[in-house]
Amino acid sequence: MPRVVLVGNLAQLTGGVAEFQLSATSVKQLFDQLTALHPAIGPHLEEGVAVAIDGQIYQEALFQPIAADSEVFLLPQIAGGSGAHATRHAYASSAATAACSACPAIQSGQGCRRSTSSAHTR
Amino acid sequence: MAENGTNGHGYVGTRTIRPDGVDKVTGRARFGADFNLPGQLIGRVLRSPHPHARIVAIDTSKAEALPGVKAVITRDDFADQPSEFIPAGEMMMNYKDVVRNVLAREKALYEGHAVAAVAATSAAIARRALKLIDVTYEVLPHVIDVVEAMRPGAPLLHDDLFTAGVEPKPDKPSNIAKRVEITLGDVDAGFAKADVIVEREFKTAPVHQGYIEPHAALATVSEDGTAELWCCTQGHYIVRAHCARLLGLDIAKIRVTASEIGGGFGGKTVVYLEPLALALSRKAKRPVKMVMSREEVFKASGPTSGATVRVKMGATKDGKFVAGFAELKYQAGAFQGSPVQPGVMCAYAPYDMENVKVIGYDVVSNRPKVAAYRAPGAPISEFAVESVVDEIAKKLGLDPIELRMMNAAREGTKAAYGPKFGPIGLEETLNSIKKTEHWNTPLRKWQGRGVASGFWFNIGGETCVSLTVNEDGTVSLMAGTPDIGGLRASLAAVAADELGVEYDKVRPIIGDTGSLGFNFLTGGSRSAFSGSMAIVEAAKQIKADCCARACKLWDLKPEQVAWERGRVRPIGDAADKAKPMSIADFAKVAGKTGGPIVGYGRLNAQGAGPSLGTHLVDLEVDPETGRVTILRYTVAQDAGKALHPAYVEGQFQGGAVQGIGWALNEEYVYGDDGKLQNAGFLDYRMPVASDVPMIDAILVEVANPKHPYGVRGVGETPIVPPLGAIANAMENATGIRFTELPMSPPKVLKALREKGVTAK
Repeated sequence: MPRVVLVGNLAQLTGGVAEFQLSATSVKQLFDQLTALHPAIGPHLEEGVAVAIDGQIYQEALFQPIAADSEVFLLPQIAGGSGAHATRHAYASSAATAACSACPAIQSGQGCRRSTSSAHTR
Repeated sequence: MAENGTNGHGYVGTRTIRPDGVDKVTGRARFGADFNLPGQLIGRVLRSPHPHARIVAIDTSKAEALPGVKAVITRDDFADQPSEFIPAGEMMMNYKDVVRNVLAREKALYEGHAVAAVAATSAAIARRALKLIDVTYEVLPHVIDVVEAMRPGAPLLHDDLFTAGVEPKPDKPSNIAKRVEITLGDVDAGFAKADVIVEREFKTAPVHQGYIEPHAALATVSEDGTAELWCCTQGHYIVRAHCARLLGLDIAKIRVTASEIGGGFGGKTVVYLEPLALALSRKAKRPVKMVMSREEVFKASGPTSGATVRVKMGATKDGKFVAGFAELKYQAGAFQGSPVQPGVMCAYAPYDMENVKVIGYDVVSNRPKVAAYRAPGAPISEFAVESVVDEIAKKLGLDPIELRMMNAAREGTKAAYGPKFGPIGLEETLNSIKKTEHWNTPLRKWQGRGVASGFWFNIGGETCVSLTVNEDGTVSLMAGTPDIGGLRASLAAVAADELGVEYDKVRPIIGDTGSLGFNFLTGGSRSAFSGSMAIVEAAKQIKADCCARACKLWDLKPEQVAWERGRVRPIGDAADKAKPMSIADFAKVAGKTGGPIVGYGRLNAQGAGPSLGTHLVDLEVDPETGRVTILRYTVAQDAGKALHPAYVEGQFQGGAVQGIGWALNEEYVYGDDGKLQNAGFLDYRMPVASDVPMIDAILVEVANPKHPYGVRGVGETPIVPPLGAIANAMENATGIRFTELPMSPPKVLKALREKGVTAK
C-alpha cells in the first residue's frame, strides 16, 4: 500500500497523525480515504493541496494514479495553484461555506485552515 | 496514423525573431493605458491619508453634484464577501479581504488604501470631485514593522484575526495570522553532530516589483449587464473571475482582453482598478478609464514582504551539513497572505540535509497588502541560508562552490519539504560557474566575489491554446496567457516544428477570455512550460486530422500513412502511391475534405520540474561613500530545454538585475507617521542599465522528463540567488557580514566606520 505523509500543518487536522498506509490507487481515492478517517481534513484537500507521488508534484489532478509501492506527500499548494479552482470555488461558495462550518477548527473558534496552512480566521 | 518524430525545421532552441518586436520598437503595441473608447469617462481613486483609521462616514453628495461627475462609488457599492481562502494568482487570497482592499470598508489599513472612486468627463473634474468627498476618519495607532506588529499590545489591524497553526488555540486576536512549520529528521540531534554552527539574524526590506507600466483598466458595462474590460494583467481569466465575484456578475457576461504588459513579475496577478472601473461604468452607463500614477503604484499595489529571518546551520568539519533551522517572520501587509509558506519550503531546498526545521509567521501591519513577486518568499529565506552557508565555508576553510557541491541536492535527494527530487541541475550550474574565466579572475582591494545558489518549484496548471490552419497554409496560434517573457516566440517555434511550417508563417496572438477555455495566469514560471505542452497537443490533433484526410484522398488505410518530416506521407507498400502533403497542401483542399483544420490543446499541465541556479558576482565598494558597484555578474541556471535561448537568457538577466536592486538599494521608507516617504522612482532606487554590467548567462539543460521538449520554467529562480551572492561578495570585499538589506551606501558607510576601515 502507498505510504502517505502529511507535510506541514496538515497533520493538525488528523490529530497529529502525519503518516498513513492507504490502499488508494488514485489521488481521488486518497482524498476520499483520508477524509473518511479524518473528516476535518476533507475541505482542505478539496480546496488545494499539492500531491507529490514518487517525487513528482501534482496539483488539481484527482485522477492521477498512485502505485501500490508509491511514496506520497501532501504539501501546501505550490505558488500558482489553480485559478480555475478559485473561479469555481467562488461560485460554489454556499457548499464550501457549509463544508467550512463543519470543520472542527471553525467550531473550536480557531478558524478553518482552508487550503492547507493558509488559515482564515474570520 | 503513425507519427514519426516532429521533423520540423528545428526552430526550437534557436533565437527566432520575436513576433511582438516590431510593434514594440515602433510604439504600435498597445499597453494598458493605450485603450480608449468613444465617450469614455476618467476614473480617479480617493485614498486614505492615514495608515490606520476607522472610517466613520463617507459623504459623497458634494462630489456627485459637481458638473461633469457621472458616478461616485464607495464601500456601499460592493456587497460584502464571506471569508474564504482560495488559491488565486500566485498566492492565496480571501474575498473578504479582496473586497476590503479594493475599497476600504470599516477601516483604512494603510496610507493609500482606496476609499472611494469617481468617474467624470475629465481628469481635472475627477480630481476636483475627489476633494469634495468628505470622509470622517477616527485615526488609530499604526504599526509598520513586522517584529513590532507581533508584540503583545501592538495596534491591532483586525479584531477577528486569531493565529492559526498554534496550540493551544489563542483566545485573543493578534496581528499574527498564522504559524507554519516543516520538519525533516531531528534538528537537535543534527546540531549535536555538528563541528561548526553558525547562527545569524537577517532583515530584508519590502521591495516593489517595479514594473514600468502602471496599472490601467478600461471598462464598459452595457445596459443588459454585459461588460468588456481591457487591462494590463498577468491573467485576464483571473481578473474576469474576481470581477464577476465582486460585482455579482456571471462570468460569461464579462469579456476581458489583456493588453501588452510592461512588466508584472507577480504584481499583476491581483485586481485593484478593474472592479472599480466596472462598477463606475455600470453606474455611469459609460466607459470608464483608470490609470494609476506611479505614486499610487507604490502606495497601493504590491510589494513583496519585508522580513526578519533567523537561521542556524550546523556542519561537520569535513563540510557536511547536518542540521538547519530557520524562523521566518514575513510582512503580509494589511491583510494576511504573505509568501511565508513557500519561503519556509524553499529555505533549504538546494541542499541534501537530513535534519531541517523551518518555522514561519504571516504577520499583518499597516502597509499595502503584499502581492506575488518572482519566486514569492524564496529570495528572502534563501538569502539568509546562502549567507550562512558562506560563513560555514569560511570557518571550515573550504571553497564555497565545493561546499555547495558537497551538499547539493540531486536526483533522489529528499527535499526538506518532503518528496524526492527527480532530475535537477544544481551540480551542473555549480560546475559551470567554477569553470568560468570569471571565477578565476583576480580581484583588487575593495573588490569582492560572491556566489550563491537558488531554488524554485515551478508549476503547470490549466491551459488552452488553439492552432488554426488558414486558407493559405499559414497558422494562427492563440494562447490565453499574457506574454511577459517570450511566450509568443516560444510557442510559435514549437508550433512551426510540430507542423512542419516556417516560423514566420505562424502568427501567435493572446486571445481574450471569450476566445479559449480557461487559462490560469502567467506566473509560477508556467506559461511556456504549459503552453508548449498544449501546443504539442493541438498540433497532434491537426496531424491526425490531416492523416485521416490523406487516407480518403489517397484511398489508403490508416496504417499506410504517417506524419514524417513535416508532411503526411504514404508509407510501406503505398510509399509511391501519392505525393506527400504539407499543411499548406491540406489548407488548399480543406473545404473539400471536411472543412477548417483546427487543433485545440487543453490540459491541466503536470510535471513541472524545479529549476536551480547559481550566481557569481564581483563588486567593488567605495570606502569613502559606501557605494557598491557591480563589476561582473554570471548566472548559470537549469532551463531543462531553452525553447528560445535569448528569452531564457533575458529571464536570467532580468532576475539578476532585480535581485541586485533588492540587495543594494530598494526599500520602502516609512516615517514615524506611518506614511511612505519614497513613492517614486527618484527616491525608490531601482537599478537602471547604467548601474549594471552585461549579465553573462550560462544555459544549463538538464531535461525535464515530464515535458515533451524537456522544458522547465525559468522566470522565478534567477531572482533568488543575487541577494546572498552579493552579501557574500560584500563580506569578501570588506570583511563585514551584512545581514540587513538593502546594503545601501549609508548602511555600508556606517558599517565601514564602525569597523574602523574608513575615516569617520
